[in-house]
Amino acid sequence: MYQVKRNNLIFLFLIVVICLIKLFHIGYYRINFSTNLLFYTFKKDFANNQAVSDNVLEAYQLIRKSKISNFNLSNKLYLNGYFKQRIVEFSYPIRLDTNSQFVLALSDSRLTCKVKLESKRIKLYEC
Amino acid sequence: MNVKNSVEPDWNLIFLSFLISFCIFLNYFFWSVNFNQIIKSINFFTILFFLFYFFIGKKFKNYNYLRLFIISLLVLSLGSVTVDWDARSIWGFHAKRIFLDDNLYAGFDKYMPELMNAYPLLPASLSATLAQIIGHWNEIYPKSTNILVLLPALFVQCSFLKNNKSILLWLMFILLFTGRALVSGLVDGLVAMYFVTNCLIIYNLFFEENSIYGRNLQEINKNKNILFFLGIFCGIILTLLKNEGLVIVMLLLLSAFLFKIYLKKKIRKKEIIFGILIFIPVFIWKFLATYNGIYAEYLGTGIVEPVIDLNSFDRIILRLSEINTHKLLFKHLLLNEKFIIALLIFLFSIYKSFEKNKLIYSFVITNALIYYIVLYIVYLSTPHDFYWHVTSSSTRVMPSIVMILIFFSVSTFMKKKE
Repeated sequence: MYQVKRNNLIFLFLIVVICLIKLFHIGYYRINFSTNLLFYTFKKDFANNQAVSDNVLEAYQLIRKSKISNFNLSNKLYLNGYFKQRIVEFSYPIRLDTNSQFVLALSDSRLTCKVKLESKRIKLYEC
Repeated sequence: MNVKNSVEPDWNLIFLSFLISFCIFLNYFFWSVNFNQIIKSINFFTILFFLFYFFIGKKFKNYNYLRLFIISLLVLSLGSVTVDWDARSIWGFHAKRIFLDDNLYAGFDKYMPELMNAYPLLPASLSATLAQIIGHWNEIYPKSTNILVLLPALFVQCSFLKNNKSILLWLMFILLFTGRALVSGLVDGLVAMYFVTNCLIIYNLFFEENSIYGRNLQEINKNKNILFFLGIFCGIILTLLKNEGLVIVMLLLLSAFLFKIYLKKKIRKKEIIFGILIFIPVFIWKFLATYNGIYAEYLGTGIVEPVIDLNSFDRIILRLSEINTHKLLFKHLLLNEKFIIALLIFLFSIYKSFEKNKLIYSFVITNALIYYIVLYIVYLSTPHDFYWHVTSSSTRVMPSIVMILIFFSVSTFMKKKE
């Protein structure tokens, strides 16, 4: 009886240890868990910089500042799958519209349009 | 009756699971008919109340491991940013659209068709409700509602496991094989968990004759009805998680009816009604999507070389004849390390306890095998680049087969040990 109980305890202990190791593995290596994020989990716009790249964040800030309802992307940005996807999600309800007069481009691009707003990496043109 | 082989699930936990699954469905229903925000919020708080009741209720004092497991998942989900591609571009984006447009059918305006506007949106609708309660959107908390969607499936599985040891073992396998998918905002982990739960419920409703439903007639009838309606709501949830879920429910029901015919058992009217009720919400969704011109990509023509402009059937024929296609599928669908581990555990379990569990093993093997063949066909018919599609998604779809093999290994093997 004692032997069975002891074996059971060892078994449970092992499983608990594996679960704990896996929880830490998921938290710290797979999803970048942070207690700071946990404490501010419901705060508006918290950790936006961790969710998307600086380019996307800057582009979003330009769109928001200029109070436009839609935007387009330069050819280079349009072909960048990551940028296109993230700016579409992040800027919603402001929409990507290929007919929009407002065009986002990288700051080193040259478009024959008027620069409406600019940041370190991104320019918003009005065409 | 063979007492040793009898199954007596924890009916309290099953009842709680039924209540939560009903509320999750209600949330989707309220969005689909555009109900008032207050009603949706009350419904959401009801789900939280049931979860709270699980944590403090004396009836559930034996589930401390499960309580810790749920808390851990919630903490991980609430303490991490949504970064996975599908979690953001499909599920998160649709939830954001539902929240900001205050409309479940926001995707029917055909904005960004590449973001799967035809997918059913049950988990996204629960995230949208939470966002309405909070009042704004951010990149952290919306995905945590996936843990609430997980609860009914998890409760059903644990209620059928015999003791704390088997529950802990099963929770360990969940963490090892789908843990990340459950907390990162992806829906694939939920599909895997609901595959297991629906298989378990359908098997018990259609075939299990040794289930103990209660001590008296009233209790027996009550518990039978609870399991029946729980099966319906879990089925509905699975069909509304993702298109894979709809396919899985179809497979489960089809194989259940075929097994009944093979075993020369009568198909009861109740079982047919069960099958019909499960599909109503998803068929309404599919009908509305089609009516609004939103179609699943798979039905369209190929969008990349060498399958450009080819229909699904032609794509399958073209790829069937290429040896490299099979090599790649073999590598990703058969040599998947999780699948191999699950298969070994399952084979060991069959070796140890096949005689007493012939039917359940046959049912599980049939469903896992058919789903495997379906995956094979789906990959062969993809309109996308074949290599990209297989390599980017095979690790997300395999856990469904992995989990079903492991759950039934754990439950039957531990039952035998008892």
